[in-house]
Amino acid sequence: MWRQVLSILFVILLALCAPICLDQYWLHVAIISLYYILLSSSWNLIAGYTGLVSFAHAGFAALGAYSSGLLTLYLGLSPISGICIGTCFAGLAGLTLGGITLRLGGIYLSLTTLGFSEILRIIITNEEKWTRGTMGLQVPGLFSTYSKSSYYYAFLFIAIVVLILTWRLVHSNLGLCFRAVMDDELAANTSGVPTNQVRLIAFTGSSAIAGLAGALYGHYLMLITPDIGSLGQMFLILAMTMVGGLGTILGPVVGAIFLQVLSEKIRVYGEYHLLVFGLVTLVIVLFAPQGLMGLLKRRKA
Amino acid sequence: MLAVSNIRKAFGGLTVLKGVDFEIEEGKIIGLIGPNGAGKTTLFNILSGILRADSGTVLFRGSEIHRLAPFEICRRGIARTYQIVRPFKKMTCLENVLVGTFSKRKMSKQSRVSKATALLQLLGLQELRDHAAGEITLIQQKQLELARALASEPSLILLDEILAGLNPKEVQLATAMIQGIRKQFGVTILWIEHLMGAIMGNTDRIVVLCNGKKISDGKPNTVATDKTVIEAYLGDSTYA
Ligand SMILES: Nc1ncnc2c1ncn2[C@@H]1O[C@H](COP(=O)(O)OP(=O)(O)OP(=O)(O)O)[C@@H](O)[C@H]1O
Ligand SMILES: [Mg+2]
Repeated sequence: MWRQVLSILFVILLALCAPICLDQYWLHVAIISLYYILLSSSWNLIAGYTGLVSFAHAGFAALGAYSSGLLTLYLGLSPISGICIGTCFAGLAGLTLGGITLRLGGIYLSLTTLGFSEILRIIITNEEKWTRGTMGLQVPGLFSTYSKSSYYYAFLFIAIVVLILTWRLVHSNLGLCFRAVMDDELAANTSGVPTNQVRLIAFTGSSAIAGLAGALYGHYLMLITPDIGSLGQMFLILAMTMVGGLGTILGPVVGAIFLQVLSEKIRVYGEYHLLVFGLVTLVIVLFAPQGLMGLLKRRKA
Repeated sequence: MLAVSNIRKAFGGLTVLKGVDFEIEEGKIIGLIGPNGAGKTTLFNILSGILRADSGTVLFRGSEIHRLAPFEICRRGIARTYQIVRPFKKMTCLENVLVGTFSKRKMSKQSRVSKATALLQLLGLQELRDHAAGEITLIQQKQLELARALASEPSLILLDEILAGLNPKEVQLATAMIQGIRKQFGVTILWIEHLMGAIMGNTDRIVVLCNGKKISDGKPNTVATDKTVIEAYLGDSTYA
């Protein structure tokens, strides 16, 4: 236990020093990794702890990014309040989608989220007057003077807070209900667990975190495109969680950093980039079904 | 305490329950028997809210429960075990029982844990506290389900063939355990079982179901000598 706490504190310390050691390019990679850590952690919360498969998490990120972007741009809100509202919008979208489909069963949620994220992407692409479509929307930055390390610390802070909250949630009574619902929904229900409510809470919270990640990301890039919500992005989130280890707190962290750094390293292969990326993901998922975290645990044992 | 009236249920063209009525008084152990496919488990599924009856009512302590969700029925005091066990396989035994305590809302984490631990102890599972429920034996899983059911502090507990697969000695231990639980918790028990010996010697009353109809209802020795019951079982080759 103490060794774990110490090693986590050590990693946080390392993360705090990163802006000193990394050049601007790798600092950018680190920030993007933190964005994906947030997204995969939010997806992991429902896929890994309640057994629901959502295809809308990239969509929720886009919803967060565009809500905050449009509000700051056209209503002159500050980025901070934009981010808060964007987070709420994504949470509300999750609540609505979940409320409609969850009682029908998990597969309906998957299909509906798939449809939702595609519809959202099409709307964003076509409403050029407001969103500027594929040209991208220029939005204000989070800080008055641009500095990569400020963004890095903002992302790092949010990521740590989200991870700590997730950890506490998963180890709470509600977290136990999440796992019971995933393990055997019927048995959980007859044991007094309101399974639909429990899943709805998980899905709403998870959607809000994805919205938060997207909103923050938008104000970092300062140019947002419909690609944020594409299915390609969604599968990246999925791959990162699976490669790191579904159903573990640190899995998505490890997976996001690993695949993001890998994708930077193999960028030189141009067209073959995606092929290499896919192969590596496939091999890891095949030979380590519990992901990199599972490998680590097995070596310890 | 529980009044089931005119319950009907069909799956597609197959009518499984054809208007079943019976009542249960508080504090009793009632046996529910009948040949394979009689509709016993289906009746349990309706009582616990997993299935909706096509018609009929279920009154529990004076209020209708046949439209409630399973978790609401559990919170009102009806818990169950399964013929084909359903423990939370990837969770530890302690966690399994903890989930059962959640139907009582206001309780500190500490008292939940000590209650769950006490129940594991009662059923002789204390050593397996931190083992995954998927990795223990079938009999232990049945005991675990009973502990999980008791954790919700039920006033009525539904047992579905909890003795199936046990050897004679284990059957004796288990029936003693069930009698002990009734005394200690003052819980009413509705008990499906095929083992005639165990059910005759340990119940206050027996309801017999056959082909979706109640064909007999009374004291164990009356039911045992009931002609219709004997015929029903003789008609079923497994008991001939
Ligand atoms: N979900 C279902 N869909 C279709 N048919 C079902 C379903 N559940 C049960 N049945 C049928 O209903 C009938 C009664 O089943 P049930 O499980 O209630 O019997 P039982 O009395 O518990 O029998 P056993 O002693 O073998 O457990 C059987 O013919 C069974 O095949
Ligand atoms: Mg049965």
